[in-house]
Amino acid sequence: MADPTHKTHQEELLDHNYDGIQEYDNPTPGWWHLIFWGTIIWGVLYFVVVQMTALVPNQHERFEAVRTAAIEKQFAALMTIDDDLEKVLTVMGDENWLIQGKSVFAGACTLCHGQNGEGLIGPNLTDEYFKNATNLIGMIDVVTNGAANGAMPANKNLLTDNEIALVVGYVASLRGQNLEGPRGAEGEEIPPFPEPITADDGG
Amino acid sequence: MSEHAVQTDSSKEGLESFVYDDQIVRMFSWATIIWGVVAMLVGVIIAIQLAFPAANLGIEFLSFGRLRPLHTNAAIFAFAGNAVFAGIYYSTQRLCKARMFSDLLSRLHFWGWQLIILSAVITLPLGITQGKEYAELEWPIDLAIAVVWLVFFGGNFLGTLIKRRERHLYVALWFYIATIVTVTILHVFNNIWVPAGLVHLIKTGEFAGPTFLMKSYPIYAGVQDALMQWWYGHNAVAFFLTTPFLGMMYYFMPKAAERPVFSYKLSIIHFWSLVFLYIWAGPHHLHYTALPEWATTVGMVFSIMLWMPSWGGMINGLLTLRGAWDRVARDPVLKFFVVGVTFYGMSTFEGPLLSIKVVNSLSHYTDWTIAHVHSGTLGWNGFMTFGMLYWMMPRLFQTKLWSVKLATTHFWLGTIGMVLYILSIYTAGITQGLMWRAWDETGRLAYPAFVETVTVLIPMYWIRVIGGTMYLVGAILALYNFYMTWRGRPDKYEETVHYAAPLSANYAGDPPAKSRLNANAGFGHKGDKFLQGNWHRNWERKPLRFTLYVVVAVSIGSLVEILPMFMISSNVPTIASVEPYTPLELAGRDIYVAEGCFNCHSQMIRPFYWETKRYGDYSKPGEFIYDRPFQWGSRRIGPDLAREGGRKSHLWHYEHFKNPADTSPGSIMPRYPWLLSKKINFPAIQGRVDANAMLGVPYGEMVKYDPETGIGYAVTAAQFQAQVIAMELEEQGGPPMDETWDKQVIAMIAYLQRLGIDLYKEAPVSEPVSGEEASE
Repeated sequence: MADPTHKTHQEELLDHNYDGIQEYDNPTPGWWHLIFWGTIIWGVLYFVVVQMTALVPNQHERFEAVRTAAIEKQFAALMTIDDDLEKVLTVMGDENWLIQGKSVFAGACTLCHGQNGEGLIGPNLTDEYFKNATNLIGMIDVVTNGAANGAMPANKNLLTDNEIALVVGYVASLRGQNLEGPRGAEGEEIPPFPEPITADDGG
Repeated sequence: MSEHAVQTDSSKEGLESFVYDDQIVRMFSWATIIWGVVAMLVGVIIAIQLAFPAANLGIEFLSFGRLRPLHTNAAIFAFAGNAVFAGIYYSTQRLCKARMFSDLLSRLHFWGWQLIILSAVITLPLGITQGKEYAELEWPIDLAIAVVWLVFFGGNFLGTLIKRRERHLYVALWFYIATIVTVTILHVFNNIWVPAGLVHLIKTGEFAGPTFLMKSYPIYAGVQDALMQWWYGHNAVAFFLTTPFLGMMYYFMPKAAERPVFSYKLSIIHFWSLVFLYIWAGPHHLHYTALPEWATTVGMVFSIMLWMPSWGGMINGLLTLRGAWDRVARDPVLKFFVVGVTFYGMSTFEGPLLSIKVVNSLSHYTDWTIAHVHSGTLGWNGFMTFGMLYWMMPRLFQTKLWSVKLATTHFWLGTIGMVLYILSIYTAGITQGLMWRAWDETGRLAYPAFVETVTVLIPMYWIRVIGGTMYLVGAILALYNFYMTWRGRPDKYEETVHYAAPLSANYAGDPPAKSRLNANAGFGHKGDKFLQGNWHRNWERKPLRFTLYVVVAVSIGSLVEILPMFMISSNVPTIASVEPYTPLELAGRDIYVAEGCFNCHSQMIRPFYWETKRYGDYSKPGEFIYDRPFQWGSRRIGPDLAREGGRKSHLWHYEHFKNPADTSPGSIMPRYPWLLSKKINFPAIQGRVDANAMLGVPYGEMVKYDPETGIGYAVTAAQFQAQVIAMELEEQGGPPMDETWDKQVIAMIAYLQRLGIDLYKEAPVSEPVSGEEASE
């Protein structure tokens, strides 16, 4: 703070007196004016450039650009595969895809099927018994459109096709772990899934 | 005592005598400290609940969603509010050299305001709420606030200005004027509603319970409601927590420091720039929401322009202490003021910072916002209040402060408590914000399960509890000190008689400014005279005109933002497939509002890839046109629910309400057992639908009554849907439907399963299909 003994100019008291309160006639500090008017000029320019010209994409255009790039980056290798079953088998055969499938699972499935698929409100996914599907294509349908009168919700508005392939691949990979869960076996024992497609197969 | 007020002049001829009403100041001061302790206690209770949810003891009236509004309302309107009234009543009389205009109005104001607070203490834990932050109180209380604030307080204040004996209005009074008129405008326009329960009672003669009688729906919906609410919410901070405290700073700081105010010119420019610019800044609370982007950009640039007007107040406060710094070390009053003003400077720098969109994208919905508001309320409002109270105590009770040492202890407890609170919560906010947005190069979210981003914060929440408790203990020390000082009061308060001349009607005017320029500069002379500010000196003599100018200043920004949102339909493009809530969903929504779910759950997905990956498509303005009130929320203690519809089974929701930790291990959501046992108020549903239909929601046949049974169609429809959901619940493995179908949880499930799904539906065939989602 400024030391009153080192004043550069004589401060002038105004002849104001309100219940003993007096006021100096000091000017407003220069740096205050500089920043104040600076922010106003900046504000006007910013608004004009951002809102009234096409120089800067708007927030939705920026979002679409990020989304397109992210999806391209994430799924480029999967997007070339048209066949749903082949897609799931490719996921099952690649550790990196499975890690991603686990992430989708953690976001969309664990609240009902448990942290590791052991079952909670929904069935155990680690045993040999399946309630609403008999094969991988059926599982894609269950994840996409739901099943059992809403007990299994539809995810078509939440997950993209590729994410559904990831999560189905991940769930398929859990089979046979036979983790202990709160529910018994539900549904029918279904035939084994086809062999995963690994990078070697593709060669 | 007051050094200047008493005229010892032997000739008192032509002078009027008067006595200040200090009793009303004593009353407001007591209310301040008592309600302050209550507000902080509730704050500590809900802080504990966040770290340890079972602390609500399973009692619905103590659940977080209901108590959090009580905490904020008590802190703002009871603690800060009474402090403002105490400070204004004390200083206005002395700055006007006049007793308050009417002792009766003063008492009506005091008791009216305490009754309003009491009604908040009763209604908020009962879940009677409008569901808008800091505007929770329902319509009958809204009306009481309008009368007490404008008629009793405003009338009393304006009357005092008019009969004043001091020619010019001091800067403190400018801020009080701005407070009174702007809060009135904000309160009235944010609280325009249809009182659904009352309308239903009058129309049908059917009384559907006291809670429903208090129920209202705002006339605004969705995006428009959000704009109005944050225009209100932000400016409640501006004109309830900032301008009156600046006014009090301008009175009590120079009094306590016994130093002149640093700069009159700075007072003028920072007052008018603050009042004019603040009102524009509200939309920065809605960055990246469904509010049109232009409005949020306006909010952002004006927030940044506000930086210097705010700091003008800080500079004028701190530089007023020049020459008194040695006393800061000894005097707890000045200590409180210095830290208070410093916190004002910090939070008014942080405010513009948080309004920058890219910063906001990280901070919004996190504890960062909570840390920010607490540095404002605990630091600025709290410490200015305590400083003022400690300064007034000996003067009001006409004795020495009981213990200066205890006051100093309070200061240190409060300061350290505040630092602990704020630092831990900053850390929590930034941690969680970064976790939400973390996604790796393979495109997966690093923390896809929301609960992971919550459990990591629990240690920080405990530190907050410690910090908050220290602050509370400090306030209790103040209460004790206050009480002991009061006990030392004289048997009868001395009432000093003051003398001053009345204002003569024929005032010659202030001396005109003289140009200080030497050269024959023509236009320059005019400019120099303007810069000397004598025009403002004239305004200071005319309170009514001054008030009018303030109204103009705050109206410009308001109208520029609000009018386009209502008049230009492209701001809220409709979506053909979005239909009104069914009667049962509407009833469920009202339970959602009543339980205060919005205090922890947002319903607004922002256009960020990581956010859409977690929650689904970003929210579109047209999705909210039937949302009265809007429920976008401001903090995600739990996950966003904008697209909750269809994501989980009925059974999951049922089990989750029963015990959230069962379905989501680590969840800090409280249990809601009462939703499973309390019945749906079916008769009220007709009133809910009718009120929404009055507001233009196309409910068609639903507003009619069966001519045979006299039962409303909306009630029948709700009962049918409730049975369907209960049946599905049973099929999914839930309890038998006849146990559940008429319980509140069914209405809640109906509502939650509807959230955000209309976007993906086919447009109804009867409507003309516009053929586009028109999201932009």
